[in-house]
Amino acid sequence: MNPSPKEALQKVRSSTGRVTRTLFGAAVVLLIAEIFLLVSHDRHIYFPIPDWGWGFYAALGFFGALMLVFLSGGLGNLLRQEEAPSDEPLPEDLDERIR
Amino acid sequence: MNEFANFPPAILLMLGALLVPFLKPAWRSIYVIALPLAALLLILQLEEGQSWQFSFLGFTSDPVEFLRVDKLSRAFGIIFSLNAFAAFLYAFYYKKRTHHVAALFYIGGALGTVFAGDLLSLYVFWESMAVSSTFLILSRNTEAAKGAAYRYIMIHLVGGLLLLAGIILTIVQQDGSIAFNGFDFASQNHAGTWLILLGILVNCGAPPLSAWLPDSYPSASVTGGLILSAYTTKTAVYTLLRGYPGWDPLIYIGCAMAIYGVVYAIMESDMRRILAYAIINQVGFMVVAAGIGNEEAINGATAAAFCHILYKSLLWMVTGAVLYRVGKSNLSELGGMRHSMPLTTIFCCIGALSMAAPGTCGFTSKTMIIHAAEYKEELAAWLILELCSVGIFLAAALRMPYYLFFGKDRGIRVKEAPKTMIAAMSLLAFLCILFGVYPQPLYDLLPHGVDFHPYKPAHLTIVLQWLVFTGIAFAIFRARLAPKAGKLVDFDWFYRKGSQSFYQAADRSLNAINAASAKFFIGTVAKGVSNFLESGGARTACLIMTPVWMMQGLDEKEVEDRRQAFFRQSKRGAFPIGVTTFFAVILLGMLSVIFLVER
Repeated sequence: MNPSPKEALQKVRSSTGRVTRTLFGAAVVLLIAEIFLLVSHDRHIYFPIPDWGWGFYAALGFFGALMLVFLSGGLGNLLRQEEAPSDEPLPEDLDERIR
Repeated sequence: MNEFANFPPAILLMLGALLVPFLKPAWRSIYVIALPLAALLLILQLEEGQSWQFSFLGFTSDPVEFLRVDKLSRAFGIIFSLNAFAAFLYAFYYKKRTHHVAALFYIGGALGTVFAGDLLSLYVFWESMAVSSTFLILSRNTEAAKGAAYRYIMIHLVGGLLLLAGIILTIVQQDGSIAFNGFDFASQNHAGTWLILLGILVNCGAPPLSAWLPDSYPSASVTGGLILSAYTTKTAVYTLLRGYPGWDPLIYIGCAMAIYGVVYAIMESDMRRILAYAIINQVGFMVVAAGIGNEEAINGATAAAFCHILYKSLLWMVTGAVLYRVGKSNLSELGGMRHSMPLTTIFCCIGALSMAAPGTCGFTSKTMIIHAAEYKEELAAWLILELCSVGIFLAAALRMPYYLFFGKDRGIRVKEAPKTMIAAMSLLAFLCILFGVYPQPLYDLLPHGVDFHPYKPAHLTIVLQWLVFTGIAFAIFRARLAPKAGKLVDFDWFYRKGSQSFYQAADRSLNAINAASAKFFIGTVAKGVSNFLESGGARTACLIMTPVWMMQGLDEKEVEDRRQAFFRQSKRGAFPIGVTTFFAVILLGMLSVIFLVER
């Protein structure tokens, strides 16, 4: 049996934090605000990419962060060492060699 | 009084540092707070065009200039001394004499560098920074700190040598002039200026010469790291803005720094190393601005450096306070600290948001650089800077505070930071918000007139958009950003491995040469010389005397007896004076013949 819209909303509310819900709300408000800015030509555009217009910076924020999360995750697996490089032991006969 | 009005603030701090060891601990703490305040007052009353110069033993055609005041140097001087005041207030609990002396010399060196009017003064103050800052790292007095300090001084000595070589070549190119003004990319693009640039880029932390920064700053003491984080990279930025505006390669170098810094900051789990990588990222923005080189970019870089010192020092103070109380800096061992340190949590949020959020100083300053890149139609640089703004906000403004203060509570219960630390953090937090809400005093300090309006609805909306959507991405994927134990391999891997290979190669090759040389010189040559010195004279004498004896009519046996006797006698050196004189005369005669023949 499908849940009613009220129940679905309740489920979403319980599964997301207050901060996340606020962020989603703010995102909607900002995207709507941008429509007004584009209509009023208040936004100055220099490059063809922002000419994409509505939602460019929203996409930059979300997908840019996403890309960096996955990139650094992959690189982190490659570059992380258990032992600090500085902890490499010196040769045992170092004193003799110097002498 | 007028004589003192244009006294170099660097000299004030350096001379002032000499008194520190003689003061009692309580007075020492007050004195080191008062000294940067005096320097700040001195800088505030300096006027554009003032200078303090002298002739250096008549060696140079221009005078050596320890003080050159213009808007650029004044802006850097003000933030340097203001930050020093806050840092010493924060370090009130710290009574170590060597630390305070080194810190004052270091900050004095930074002030000397930004007020230096010529290449020689620049070099002197630059190197004084390198040496004194090493003691700040050593002040933590751990094995790790000693290693980091050693690597730090090595790389900075290399940078200093590059700078010195460049300065010498440039002075030769400038017909003996030591003047330090902007180098023109078209006409002054020679080995000297490139070497100077390389020396500066070492201090900027440009990859691959960057590993010293995340290696050394987090290894320093709580206050040492705080002080180090503000000066070395910012004096390098100042020098780029002064000497290399409009040098195109800096745009690419700056972009590389920004990307490198942000990727490592996201991967890193040690809170102080995250901030160290964030420094490289933010300095990358300033290096791009120097490369763009127009008025808006120079203003943007100066404002960004000013504000970066404020909010990055605030974050170093926050992490330092946690380290001071808990003794740990890895985020994988920390969490839920807001329960114990609520005020520090608030300061951390202010410092973190100050990287970009409206109402804070990062919003009114750093965005100026991005706007300059956009206006100059540097598409790639603009896109990279936008992306790196997103990344650094994610790494240092969301991830670090979340896992330090709001993440899983690990049950660590400590006292709130000491009162003087709270006071210093309050001051910087206040300034972060002040210059965010009312940026005009900051804009008045900048080198050129400012035509930038951060609070235009369009600008405000787009910045808020990417901030909020970055926040959403973090909220959804934060589990993937959870801190992990372990240490990241950085560019230092190459010189650690490289130095090891170099050592082994040198060990094998040089020791082989050493053994061969020993065999030849000691086994053959030295033995021959020794034999000659022992019996060579006797053999020569026998050689000369044998024909004489034969002419006397002696038979072979008698000649051989005489030879044996003579050999023994000459080996003992028991010759009558007459015989010695005879040989001396022969030797003299031979030398005379050689001399006459050669002539």
